[in-house]
Amino acid sequence: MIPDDFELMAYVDGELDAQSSKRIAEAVEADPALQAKVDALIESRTVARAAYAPMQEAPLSRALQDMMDDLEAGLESHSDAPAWQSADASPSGGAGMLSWARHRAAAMTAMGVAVGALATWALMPQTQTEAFLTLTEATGTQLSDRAQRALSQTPAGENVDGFTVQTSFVSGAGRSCRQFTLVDQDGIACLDASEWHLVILTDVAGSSDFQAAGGTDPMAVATAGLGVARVLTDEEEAAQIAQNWRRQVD
Amino acid sequence: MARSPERLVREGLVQHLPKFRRFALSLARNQADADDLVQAGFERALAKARSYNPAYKIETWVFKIIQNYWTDQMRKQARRGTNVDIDEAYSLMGEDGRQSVETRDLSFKARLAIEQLPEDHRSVVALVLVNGESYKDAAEILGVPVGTVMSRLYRARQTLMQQLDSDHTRGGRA
Repeated sequence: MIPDDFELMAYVDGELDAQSSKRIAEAVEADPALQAKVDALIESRTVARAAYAPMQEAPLSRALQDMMDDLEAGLESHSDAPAWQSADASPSGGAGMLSWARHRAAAMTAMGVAVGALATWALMPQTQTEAFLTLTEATGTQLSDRAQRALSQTPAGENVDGFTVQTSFVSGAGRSCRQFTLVDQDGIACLDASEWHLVILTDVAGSSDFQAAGGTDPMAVATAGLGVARVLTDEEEAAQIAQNWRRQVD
Repeated sequence: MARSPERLVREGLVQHLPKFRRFALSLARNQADADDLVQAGFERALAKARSYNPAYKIETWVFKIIQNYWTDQMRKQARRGTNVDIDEAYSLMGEDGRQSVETRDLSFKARLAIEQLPEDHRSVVALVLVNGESYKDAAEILGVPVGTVMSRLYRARQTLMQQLDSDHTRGGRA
């Protein structure tokens, strides 16, 4: 069966499935007239692309550049994406970068390396009487019962007195983990047995001059250390909340 | 995770800017107009970002907004037929374009030939040939069936090649 012109065009443009493509390739190879049509179709595409090639790398107009600068700045200052999504989001090497890598951050770990300002603020009740964090000399910073409830029951994106879960994911070891914001702090907590444990809590607002060694973003380091097997969808997260975060095993 | 539609749109605009610019450049006649078109399209995308459905490709959604804006603008203008300013077209090629026959030859003639296509043909050329969109996505963006995309594309290609052959036969430009 001789392919018609539309089939040849779809073949040239890569629109056919493998079987159809193979059939037409064989027909074209056996018929110089078909080959000539295919060559012309390919040339038309080449010509169209050539028409605009000299202008594709032109600098942005001033107004558009300003708009893109504002967009990028907005993305960086209102990040609601997890740290592991920060890399390579933009062909420009920065346009789509989410904010983590640029945050001045104070590293605090579950061992309780608390920067004073953070510990003081986070321990104080905000609009409620019960704090999200507790600090003891023996154990350092820990999640309070209120934080345990919030982590278990709050859908991502819902703000509870300054505490907002940003995303939920399964770690490389199969643990359920949640990245959260507490006022101007970011943290990650993972579930062990029936209790959430703080993996990291870090100041992202620049309220501390403490810098992680080598300028490395502590959230990214913590995330890399945990590994991310997968990010939960809204539906999966809702299911986990409904069943009180049964341990994930991939 | 729950990223808002607004954020997804903002990310998409930043991430796919080169693609949107190529599309706009294919529709508009010069870089300045193309960037104005992108900016206007982005403003509309941001204004309606709350209604963006993440189930759809962000590129397709924004292409459609840019295409609609372009179509609206064209409708507002008096129908003036093909209006390619030769000096402007040469200027698009840069200084070397005026000086070198080899440099200006294919891309210049191709540009003029595309400019002379009907707008609905030019849109398909811009989406499929210049930007590499699939027939299906082009159909979604333009709001027409895939068969219409194919027929427009085929006729546009024929016109384009005939125009270039004609120029070649005459040994002159446009």
